[in-house]
Parts: sequence; C-alpha cells; structure tokens
Amino acid sequence: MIILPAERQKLWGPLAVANFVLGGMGAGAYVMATFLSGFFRLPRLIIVVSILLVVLGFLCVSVEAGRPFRGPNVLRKIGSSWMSRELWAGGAFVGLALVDMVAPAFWLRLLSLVAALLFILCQGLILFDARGIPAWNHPLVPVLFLTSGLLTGAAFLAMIDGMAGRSALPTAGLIGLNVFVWVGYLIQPRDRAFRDATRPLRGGMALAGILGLGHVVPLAVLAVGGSAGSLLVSVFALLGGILLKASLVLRAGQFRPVAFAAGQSTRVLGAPVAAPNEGRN
Amino acid sequence: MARLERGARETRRGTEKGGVPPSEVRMRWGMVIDLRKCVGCQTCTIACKQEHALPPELFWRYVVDTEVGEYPDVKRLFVPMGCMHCANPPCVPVCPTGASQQRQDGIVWVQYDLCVGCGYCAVACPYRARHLIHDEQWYFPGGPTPSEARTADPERRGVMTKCTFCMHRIDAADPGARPGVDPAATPVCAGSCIANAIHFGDLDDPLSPVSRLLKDGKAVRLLEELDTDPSVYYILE
Repeated sequence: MIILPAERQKLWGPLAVANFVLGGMGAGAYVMATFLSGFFRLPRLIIVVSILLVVLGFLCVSVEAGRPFRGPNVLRKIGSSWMSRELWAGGAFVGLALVDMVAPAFWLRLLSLVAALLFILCQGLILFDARGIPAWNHPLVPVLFLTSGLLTGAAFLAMIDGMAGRSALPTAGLIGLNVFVWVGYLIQPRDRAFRDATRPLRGGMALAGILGLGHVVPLAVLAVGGSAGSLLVSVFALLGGILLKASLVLRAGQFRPVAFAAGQSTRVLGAPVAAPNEGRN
Repeated sequence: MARLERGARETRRGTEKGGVPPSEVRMRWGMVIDLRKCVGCQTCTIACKQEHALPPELFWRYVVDTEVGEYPDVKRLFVPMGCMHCANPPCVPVCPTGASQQRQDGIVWVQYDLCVGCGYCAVACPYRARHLIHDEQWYFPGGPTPSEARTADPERRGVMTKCTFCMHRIDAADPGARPGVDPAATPVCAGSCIANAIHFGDLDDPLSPVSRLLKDGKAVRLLEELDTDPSVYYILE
C-alpha cells in the first residue's frame, strides 16, 4: 500500500556530482600514476594536479551545503559517518601527498596511496549508506566508484602527462572491469524500488552514453589504434565516468516509495500540502 | 510516576548518544495514529506550522490523501506523515557533524548550531521527514510580517529541520505531567487533532494510552522491512 510514490531527490545536485567526479578522478590519477611510474618516479605535476582535483571537488560540494563555514564540523563523526571519513581520507591524502612532494619518502607515498584509495571508497560508501535512495543503497556502488575513479584517473593521466603508452593496457583492463561492475549493478534482481529507480540507467540514452561512448568506443579505439588514439580514448573514458556518476546521482537518485506493505494498490489523490525536502526560508 | 520523572529528567538532559536507554530508564516516546478516525482536515498540519513558526512551503507534519483498493472496491485514506522517530534511525549515524541526534527517550532531533546543511541525513531517511531550509523567505513580499519577525528562527536557515515530537513541550512540562495525557506536555499535532486520531505516549509503558492501543497487535508501521523500528504506528482497520 503505497502512501508516497517514488520521487527524485533534489538535495544533491551537479555540485555533489562534481565532488564525486573530481575527487574520484584526482585520487584515481594519483593511484594509477603511482603504479604506472613504478612507485618511486611519480612526476610532481601529477601530484599537484591530483591534489588540486580533490580540493576542487571539496570546494564544489561545500558550496552546496547550507552552512559551508561550519565545514570543519564534518570531521567530528569519523566513527559513524562515511562523509566524515571521506573528509578525513581526502584531507590525509592531500596532506601526505604534499609532504611527499616536498620530502619524498617511501612510507609517505604508501600512506598517500592508501588514503587516496580509501577516499574513493568513502565516496561510494556515502551513497551506499543513504537508505532512502534504493539506487544508491546497493553493495556494488562503492565498487563502482572505485573502478570508475581509477578509470577516469587513468584517462586523465593519459591526457596530461603523456603516460598514454604505459597506461593503454591498464586503461583497457579498467574499462572492462567498469563495464562488468556497471552491468552487474544494472541487472541485479533487487526489489521493485531499485528496478524502478534504475530504469533511466537502462534506457537507450544512458546505455549509449555510458556504455557506448564511455566504454565501448574507447575500448575499440585502443584495440585498433593503440596509443595513437590516446586522446580520443581519454576524452571518451572521462565522458563515460562523468555520465555514470551524474546519472546515478541525478537520474537514479530517487526516494523509495513509502508504503505499509506490498499487495494493495493506492493512488495519491492530491497533494493537499507538499512535502518538500528542500524548503526556502 | 517515579519512572516518568526519571524519564523527564533524561529528556531534559538531551543526551547526545542514544538508541538504547540506560538500564533503569525504559522510555520511548511514540505515536499511534488511528486512520479510521482521521478525516484529513489538516488541523495537525496547521497546528504544527504555527507551533514551530515554519516558513512557507515547509511542513514537518502533513496529511497524505490516498485512495486504497481497486474500482469499485475503493476507499479514501488520510495518512498523517512526519518523522517516525525510529529506534534505529538511518539519519543519525550518517550525519558527519553529530548534529542529528537521538535522545535516550527516543526522540530524534537536530542540533542546529552543529549542522552544515549537507543533506546527507535527508537522503538517508526513507520517510522523507527531513527538510533543508536554504534561505529566508516570507509569506508576503516586502519582508516578514510582524508575526513572522517575532517567530522567525535564524538558526534554522541553511540547516536540516524536522519534527521534534514537540520536545520543547515535553521538556517544559511540570513534574508529574503526562505527555500524551496533559495537552501542554503533548505534541501539538496530537493535542489539536479534532478526531482524536493521533495519540502520543510512552511505548515502553504498558499502561500508557499508546500501549493500550497497540495491545491487539493490529497496528502497522511504514517500511517495516527496512528495520528502522519506527515509533509511529498506524491503525488501518
């Protein structure tokens, strides 16, 4: 018996998506560059750009908050909140990577790497812990954030540092992995709320954009042209990563229907008063 | 009575940690809403708006107008909605600042001065019971009316807001007053209901009016499958 039908969330908009995209890409680029450069020969440019992307992501999301100047309060609940853990992990990554850039050390690089990976995972777990949104409250979402973050990071890396030659194979592998997780997520036989919420992601446009342009095209270019088409691969892989997170947050991000129990049909006759999650005053 | 006074003391303390009351104090405020009696008049909606001086477009309590069944076997149902004050609230652990809290008497509330307005608790709440107030807006152009100027709460701007079970009334109650029985100590939606459909009281007290209503086991809760253990029950038939 449905009392309130599913409704798209309006609390987290493009700025929240920007945080997820930029943060994932920055931390992913750092992780991939560390591996591709053989751990010790990480170019400074990569470190700086990775840090800037993560910080820019935080700035974007802070603009969306109602009281951005209370931002440090977000650090208070590391024991229970993934958003708090995200800020700790992101902050740790920025701090450690900066120190590593000035005074390189093995343990600093290792800790930066761990912090970057944790940061990407925290972003996915933020969505996973949102129980009001069935499309987010899914165990594959954090995995998806990890693979997508690494993929967009690798793509970004190929664009800025000429690592295309070295990153072609890992990029192809990450594209395959991302497709595997994304398709696995979409075909999960979960409850009806999940299937309804993720319907836009299975539509023609989403499939063409995320799977087609974002994954199949770069994979085909890699297979045919190798590193020659690296810019094309990077652009399309980045586009796919952005579309994936934007679709997940903005299109599939809808509240589950509020109901007593399944089986009895109801129809909302009118909205005598609205129930907005966002008010203005 | 001594138990009630202990509970009231706990209520006043407004402790941050909650969920499981300490061993001596067993108290959990809750509501039982008899949908057989609700006529959808929205008196509770307006009483709540007035009590809390809520801005335009914001409702902590509202009544959903639904149609149950299939033609020709159809009936109309009015369902008062608001925060469920869950015993296992998904909104509290996700809050990164600790602004979303659960008291030992079960009331879930927001400490405005800690909240950053990130909206995380609102997307975690399956009942859509949390509302972010972005910026000032008044009922009429040209600024607040005298009444709005008197009641506006600048602390609520940019932060998450929600039903508090009128905890200010419970906390200010005279010693010995019984929330759910004494109108001054009862949430205003329950006290104002013209059909006596909304009942408030201690779910852990077997003698409270709400516990007596729940005795026959017919009351149901919303989205029970999520294990949030809501403190608001509905009697359907």
